[in-house]
Amino acid sequence: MLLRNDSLELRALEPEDGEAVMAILENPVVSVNLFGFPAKAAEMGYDAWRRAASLFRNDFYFAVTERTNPRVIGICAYQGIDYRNGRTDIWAAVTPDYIGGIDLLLLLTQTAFNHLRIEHIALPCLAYDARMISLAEQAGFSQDSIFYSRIKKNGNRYDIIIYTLLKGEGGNTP
Amino acid sequence: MIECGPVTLRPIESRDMEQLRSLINNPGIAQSVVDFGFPVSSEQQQEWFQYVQPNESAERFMIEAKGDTVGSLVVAKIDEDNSTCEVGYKVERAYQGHGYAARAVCAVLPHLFLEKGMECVVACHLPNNLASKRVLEKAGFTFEGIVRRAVYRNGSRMDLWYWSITRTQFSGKAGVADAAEK
Repeated sequence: MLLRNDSLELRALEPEDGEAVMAILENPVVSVNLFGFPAKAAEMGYDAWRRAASLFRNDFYFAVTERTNPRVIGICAYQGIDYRNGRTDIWAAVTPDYIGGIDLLLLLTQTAFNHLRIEHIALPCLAYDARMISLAEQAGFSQDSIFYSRIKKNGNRYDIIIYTLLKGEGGNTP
Repeated sequence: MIECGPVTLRPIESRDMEQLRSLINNPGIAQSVVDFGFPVSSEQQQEWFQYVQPNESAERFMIEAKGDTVGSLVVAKIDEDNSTCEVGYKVERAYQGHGYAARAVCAVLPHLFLEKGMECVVACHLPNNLASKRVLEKAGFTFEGIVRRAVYRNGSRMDLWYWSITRTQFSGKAGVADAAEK
């Protein structure tokens, strides 16, 4: 099944998406905000990274396209889906010129709530990632905990802010 | 072996499986820990031990005090890329209230920061587990915040309280182990 709303479509990552995906992930505007597994794509290379991603049983990575244009404009994921507790993390990275990030977050959250029985979605953001924080707040997420000094990046340590959205919040159907 | 005052941490062994199983199957303890666990048989417990020994990126210890094995401590979610890990602990009902968990956490911190090179050690607990909160306070952890309604327990969703201690905080907290003695 493809995940879609009025403007976007999420499909599986294909081998031929490598060039587009790496162009996004290696764009300095995007890469500065990457951490965790997505940040490893540059060193692993797309093929190895995509194969590794497929081995995580509770992670699902997608290519993001506009419904009117097959060009890959982003990558997103459910990470660490915990069905027992009805929770998941989400992650997304889009080309810097794409301004519809809110639609992508809504597609991910609504799919999780309405199809995966998820009741708690966490969006971990680097504390300086103003763009993602703004998108999270627009999508109805609330700031929960700050995870201090959790990420090592370019020799420095950074805080992570945990934004969460619960089922029934942010205009999502309870 | 890691020692801190009256508490010793030693790696788990095959002979510990029945005690670990009883900790998992104890309803009172199960209510207070973050991870929900199904009942475990002796056979399943031994299979688990055979599996985790070569495969797991975690360190598991038994907590010993005054000649008794009083509980267990696990260092899990070891993230070498970010030099972070998470600690969890369980103490047998009969030995709770003696400060053994706090001493065990204090004992493992030098190992994690000075030997394993960790930069941040994390822990979390359910809001009603005030004993666990006190353990982390004694061990010098800082409260980070609440992740709302993160787990499902007894028919409702419950918050998780997150705590951490960084290498800098650990270095600046000389006498943490002493505090745990109090």
